[in-house]
Amino acid sequence: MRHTASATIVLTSVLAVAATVGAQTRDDSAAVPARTKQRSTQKAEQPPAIDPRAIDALRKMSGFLRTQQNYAVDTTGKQDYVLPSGEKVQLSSHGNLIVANPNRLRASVVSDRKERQFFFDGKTFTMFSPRPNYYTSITLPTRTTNRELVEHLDANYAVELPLADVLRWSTVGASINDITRATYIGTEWINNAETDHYSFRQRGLDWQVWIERGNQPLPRRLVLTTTDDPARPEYAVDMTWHLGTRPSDAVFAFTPPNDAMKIAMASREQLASREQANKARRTSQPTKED
Amino acid sequence: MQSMNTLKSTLLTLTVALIASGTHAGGADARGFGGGFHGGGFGGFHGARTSIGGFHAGAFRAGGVHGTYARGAGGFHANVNRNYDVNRNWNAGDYHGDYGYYHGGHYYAGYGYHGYYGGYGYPVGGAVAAGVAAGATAAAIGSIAYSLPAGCGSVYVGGLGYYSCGGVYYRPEYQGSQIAYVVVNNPG
Repeated sequence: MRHTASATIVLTSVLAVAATVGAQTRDDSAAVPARTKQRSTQKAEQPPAIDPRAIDALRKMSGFLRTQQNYAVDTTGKQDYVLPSGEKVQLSSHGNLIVANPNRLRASVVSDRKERQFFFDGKTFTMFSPRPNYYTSITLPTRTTNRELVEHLDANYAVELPLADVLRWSTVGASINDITRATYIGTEWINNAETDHYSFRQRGLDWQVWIERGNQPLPRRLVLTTTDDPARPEYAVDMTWHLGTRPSDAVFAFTPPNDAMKIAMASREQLASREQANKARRTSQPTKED
Repeated sequence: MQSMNTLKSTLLTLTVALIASGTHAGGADARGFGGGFHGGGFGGFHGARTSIGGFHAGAFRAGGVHGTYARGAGGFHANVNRNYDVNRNWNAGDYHGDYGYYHGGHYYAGYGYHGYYGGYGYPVGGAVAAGVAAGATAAAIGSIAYSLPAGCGSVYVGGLGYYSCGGVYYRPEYQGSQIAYVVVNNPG
């Protein structure tokens, strides 16, 4: 508990500093005098915190994604984990996401230590772990869309689908309300695609996206830096896109392998009660069951 | 280079709690921004966020998990014999990738469900972890392990699998995308 408390204090301090810095940044920018009459109503003449080109690029990207009913993405990812010492270690994974809108998807994430497969056939969502050969399934209300599935799993089971951001972008649009800084960095070639590189900041998170130039503004690389963690761990994923092919429905259906064991998926309520039970156990006798 | 590789492999060997994946058990964002998760801080580790989210900040946060989601037990890499396939002696620590870790001569089994607030873990006395690993009947109901002791048999109740290990029943379940084993009363 002491660890937790001190961690919270550190976090609070970090956030307080961050808030102060943020406030100063805004003050500074507001203090810069306007240079021209035409723009005198605007707050600043120096590069604005939010470059409208970067916001436009996000809108165009998600607008293009929304026109894609069927697509597949191959991914290679790297994710930092932070040891108690503060050291970061980086682990790799690869996977894919196959989407047939509005309500079919399949995804996988594979590392040397873990593999998960996800299936949604329009009715049933299944998460499958090939090595222990476990799976869990839930039935969704009729006409549940991919986008709704993403939020349902998040809200009720703390399950995050791979490339959840792509699924969000491709069904609703890019999120801009939380962005406090947006910067165009420049062009860069990513895996044989010429891209525009943008950087964004929002609370607790700096993120970058490389968007393909030309008539297919697809995200080709995404890098997330968790900034409310002193170690600032990163997650990076490269994406290779395949547009326009709709697989047969069988691709999205899950058939349990022989000997696969169906297991439970803990609801957020259960997760919370487990947490409570374990808290209580640390201070007294166990009182609660499953 | 060799020493780097050695260091790396040592880290990977000792830090069995890591997952490299786009999805993982993660705590809800208690600070109310974004739709993404922080990495679950199993065993004192916490990972980078893997999604931006943020469409409806807070809208899906109801019922979010806050604070420390403590691992009650576990930390050893018990081989699991699933009774229907005795040849498959897989090492749970290798495949689940999300178990305790070895540090400074002690097994730690702290599990912070919220990657940040609880992510620093806390050491669980070896007696607890060893007790579960040995299938001791003293395992507290509600304890959470990340691997099973040896010699378990599977049972199905209500269409879901459970394990019986020397008189202790475990309910395997996904916690987020992480597999965990919760000590339960006899489900039958």
